[in-house]
Amino acid sequence: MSASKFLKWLSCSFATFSAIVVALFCLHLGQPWWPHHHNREVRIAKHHIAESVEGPTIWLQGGSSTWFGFDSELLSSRTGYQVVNLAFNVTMPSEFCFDEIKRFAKPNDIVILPLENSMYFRDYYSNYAANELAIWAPDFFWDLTWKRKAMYLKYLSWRKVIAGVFARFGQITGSFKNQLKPLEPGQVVANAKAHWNGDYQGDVPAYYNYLTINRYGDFEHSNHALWRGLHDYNLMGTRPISEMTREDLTQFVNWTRSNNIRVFMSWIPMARNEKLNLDHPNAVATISRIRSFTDSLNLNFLGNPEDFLVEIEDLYDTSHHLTAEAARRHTETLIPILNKAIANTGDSNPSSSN
Amino acid sequence: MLFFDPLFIFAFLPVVWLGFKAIGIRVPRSVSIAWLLLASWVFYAWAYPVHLFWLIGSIFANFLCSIAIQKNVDSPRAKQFLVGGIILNLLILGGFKYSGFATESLATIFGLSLQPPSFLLPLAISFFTFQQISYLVTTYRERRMIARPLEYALYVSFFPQLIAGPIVQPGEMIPQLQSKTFGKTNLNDIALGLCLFIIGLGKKILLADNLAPIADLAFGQIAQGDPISALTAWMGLLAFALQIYFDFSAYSEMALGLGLLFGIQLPENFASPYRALSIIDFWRRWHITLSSFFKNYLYIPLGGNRLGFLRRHSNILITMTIAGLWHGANLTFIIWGFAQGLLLSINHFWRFSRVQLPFEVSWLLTFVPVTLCWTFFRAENLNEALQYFSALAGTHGWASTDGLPFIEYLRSLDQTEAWNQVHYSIHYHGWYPKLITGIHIGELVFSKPFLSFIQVTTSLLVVLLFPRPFVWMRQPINGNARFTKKAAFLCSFIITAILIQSGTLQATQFIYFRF
Repeated sequence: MSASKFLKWLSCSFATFSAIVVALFCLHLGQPWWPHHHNREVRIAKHHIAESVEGPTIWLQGGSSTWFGFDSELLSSRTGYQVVNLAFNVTMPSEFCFDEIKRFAKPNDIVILPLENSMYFRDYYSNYAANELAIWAPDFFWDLTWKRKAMYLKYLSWRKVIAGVFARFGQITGSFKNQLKPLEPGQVVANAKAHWNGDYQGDVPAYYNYLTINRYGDFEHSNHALWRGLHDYNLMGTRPISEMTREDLTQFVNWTRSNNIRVFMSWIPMARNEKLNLDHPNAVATISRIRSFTDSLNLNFLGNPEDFLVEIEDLYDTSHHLTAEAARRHTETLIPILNKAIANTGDSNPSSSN
Repeated sequence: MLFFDPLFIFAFLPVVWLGFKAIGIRVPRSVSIAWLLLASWVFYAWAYPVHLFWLIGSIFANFLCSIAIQKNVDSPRAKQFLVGGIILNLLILGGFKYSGFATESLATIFGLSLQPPSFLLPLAISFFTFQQISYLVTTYRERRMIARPLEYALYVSFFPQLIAGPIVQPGEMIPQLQSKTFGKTNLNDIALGLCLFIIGLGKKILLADNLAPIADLAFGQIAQGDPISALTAWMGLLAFALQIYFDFSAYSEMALGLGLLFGIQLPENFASPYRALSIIDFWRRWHITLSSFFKNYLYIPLGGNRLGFLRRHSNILITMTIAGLWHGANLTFIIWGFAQGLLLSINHFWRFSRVQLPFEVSWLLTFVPVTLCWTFFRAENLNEALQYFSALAGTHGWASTDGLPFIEYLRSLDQTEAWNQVHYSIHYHGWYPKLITGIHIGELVFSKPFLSFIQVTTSLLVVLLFPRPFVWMRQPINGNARFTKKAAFLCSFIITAILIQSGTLQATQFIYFRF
């Protein structure tokens, strides 16, 4: 075989291998593996809540500190707006978080973004998020730009692809146990409604799942073992704002402006602990970087990081999750600042917005 | 810049290669040489630009020295220039590489409070120093000017071999630079170079770097003072033996391949050393150019095997101990070198007996001692090495689950998190045959020890069963290299596998870059 033939064979066989990989990738999309389809069900339940609300609405979006950190019922009663908490996991890509809001938000709504601090600096897809989204939001991948698609694939575990292909063959052959089978969306909604009405009799399948959210989308606390780790809340580093976040937030803000939707940034609740020192030059500089970035988009922050400091006893099961009582206090702290901001930026009476 | 760095593969290499091809079409050969020299210096200076000062300074000084030797070729001063040049090279190398070690040793032995000098060792100084010494010696022996300044600078700096060898003799490269056809690469060389580069890339990323965590875990635990079982220690040591094998083999093949892309055939530096059937054979196959250097420039000048039995064996021990020291300023490297010398001496003794051992026994008697010696090479210090040997001997038990019944042993196995998704996927299909009540085969298959065992065994099989790419590809058919469909498939498989794994790769620097 001559060198030119060799190079032709090299190209052809590479094309063949690539085609096989692409086929396996497509085959695995949407395939669950226990127990992570619970995130899918949380999303279905939250989408149901979002679709059900009527009138001017406040949309909460961020990481799990937002899922655990708000008393949306209280927020709704004190602002007069409907409230939906769409947040659930810090690793979710920023464009995913913003896309979730874009699905439901309408003119005159308000968006509050207590983004986890790490989300400002993240210039990659987490392996966890890439794996998860491949299971329950394959459309997210197809909607990405080519550059982002390549980036996403970089972080998708090849073992996850194999697992997904096994799951697909399991479905085809029928050897697919109940635990692995995701619930139909209708069943998820029916179970969630029954749970909110106190009628649900079945098992709660996992700790974080669609049966641990209330009718606003907040996390519903149980008697889970407390775990209160120390954390610097990603304020003590020197990382710059990522281009990825910059691009996504800019696009989102442009979309909200063209749809007459107000956006407020907010700080996450952070526990006073030995790893966090808001007076440290790094923390001061990081906060300043975040503020400069949001200022460049004409976005206002609701309060200051110091306003949302909590005690370590207010944490629930991680250094980012508040107890129900602390979530209520966190919301109470935010409400006057929010009401003032709403009044400063437009009509404060939601009913007149209609 | 590393050969597997995307910046190197997708930017540096294509730009340099396309530039080289474009220049080779019309302009004189010296422009091609200058282009490659410039690229090599950019490559070298990428991480630490200040190191370029040492490289260029060393090239300049050595070239002046070679001119002085050539100008005084008929007078005794030529030898003085040669000796002076060699001493200067060794002083610079020693100053950078061994002054810290020497200061620390003196401080320890004499209880002095000496502060070891702190400076960054110029990358590849051991390699380019040796290469230039061989040039000075060759100039002296051949009594003529071997290369023009640009050719000499490229001979020392050519980026495929600059960082970790091979240590090229002037006669192996300079005539190629002086050939009229230099700069006009043919398709055969390009295809062969590409193939070797890809196979090397695969060895590094898919094999060596996947073995590293197994070795790191075992040696890391010992470094922290945690006892490990003999099973873990042997697995860790075998993993390191294979890691360094594939790491060095990968580098050597990538260097050969890159050389061919530019029409330069570098000498082979690695010839399946783990297939050796004696220690002597092993050292003819491992780091071939370094072994030749020490043989030609140390062992033979010391008297080699010409001065009697005792001198011969002491020369072997001296040469190998210094070769050990060349790898790094640490007692562990000195002991490693001495141990290799001892093994070589024993091997020479054995030859007198003229007893032919069965193939398998010969292989084991070579592979096992070589592998055991890697303990000194990998350990951070002597104490760690001794602790590791103690673990290998089973002083902390043979397995971490000694005394547990089999079922409890299976239950105690750590599952490998990376494989959890596949494990669960199969599990929830009920596709696992049950071994014992409550325990199925997946618990075993996806456990850390089992997967480590599979990785080590597979790698060893690759070592023993796969042909040497360079030989495999160079066997001529009708005067052409032997391009096969198998090679094409292998290369495309490697590229695909690397692309698939690219997100989770934990690529590490080549081990020999440290030297």
